[in-house]
Amino acid sequence: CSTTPELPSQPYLKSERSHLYALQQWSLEGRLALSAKQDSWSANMAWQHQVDNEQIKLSGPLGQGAVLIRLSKDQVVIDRGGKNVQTSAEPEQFIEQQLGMAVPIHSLRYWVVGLPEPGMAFFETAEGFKQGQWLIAYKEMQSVGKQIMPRKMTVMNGQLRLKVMVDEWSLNDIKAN
Amino acid sequence: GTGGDVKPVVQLKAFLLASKSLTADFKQVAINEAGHPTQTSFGVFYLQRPGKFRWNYQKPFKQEIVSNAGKVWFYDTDLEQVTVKKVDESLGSTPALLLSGDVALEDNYTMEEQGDDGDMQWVKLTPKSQDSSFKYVLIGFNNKTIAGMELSDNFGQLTRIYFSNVLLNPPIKPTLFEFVAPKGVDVFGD
Repeated sequence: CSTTPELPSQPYLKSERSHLYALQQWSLEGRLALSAKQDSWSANMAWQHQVDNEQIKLSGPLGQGAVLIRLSKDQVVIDRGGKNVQTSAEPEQFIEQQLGMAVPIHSLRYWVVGLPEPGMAFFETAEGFKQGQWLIAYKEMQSVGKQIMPRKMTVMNGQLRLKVMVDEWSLNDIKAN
Repeated sequence: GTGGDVKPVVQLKAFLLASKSLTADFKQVAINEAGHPTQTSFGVFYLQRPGKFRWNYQKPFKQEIVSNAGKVWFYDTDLEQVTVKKVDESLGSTPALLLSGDVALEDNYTMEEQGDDGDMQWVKLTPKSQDSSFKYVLIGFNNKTIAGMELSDNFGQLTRIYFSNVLLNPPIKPTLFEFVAPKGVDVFGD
């Protein structure tokens, strides 16, 4: 189920979130802003997660310039519609080459749900945690059914800053609703 | 309808010539590949030919898109970020740009009549360039003034725009097209 957030922003509490690792299926509609020395842009973002596949659609405010990123553990497809489809078996490198900057997309799949990436050290901070050389901060959270999910977050390292606003969550997993 | 006999393409050109400036409210509905509406947003649109427009989203979130002097400022209030891009680079040939009158229609689009549906006449513009940022845009007229648009992205997702309270040639303060970034907001771009 999905609800539009009117609730005050609850604080980010890592301890009560680990059950969300079991969440198999979710989707979000929101916006992404990216800024780095080389470039900066923002886009509407629709992200669908199923087991360990991600489908991320980025587009302009009127739907123009839509790009579909389909990511699994060891493959990424960047589809700009029609014949303009590129595939790579090196997702992280390929995305860096396409975007001109290193976006930690495998980790983002966990961070956007409010979780550190499993199997990697992290240090808790007031607003989130630090993992690798990335600082993840949850500025606002929102209630979605019985869960508390991120609404506004930033992801930063020395070179790149991502800001994500989640306007709508759909947690399609029965357990998590 | 009364405008029925005037061919939609002629109407489009007449409209673009007749409207030096324009203001309108809009409702925007995104419709996914399966035909279901996903997101609906509302806002206001201002146009001053040549080359100036302001496209403000007011609900469910606030964004401002301002085009002036060959640049486009995009500001998202929640994300507290402003990006400035050259017109062709940032939005590609988007509907808002089409209406601002900078784009020579015949050179960049094939235009087809779509006939009437009720009292609306539609024109379909298909980009001639292969790597356009969208598949086509439909512009709809209702007795000689713009009433709607529909953009199909490269995956078949539609963005439908319904205009209301359309005022033709109203006086618009030039400062409306001069974007000023609020304090404390990051501004990026050329």
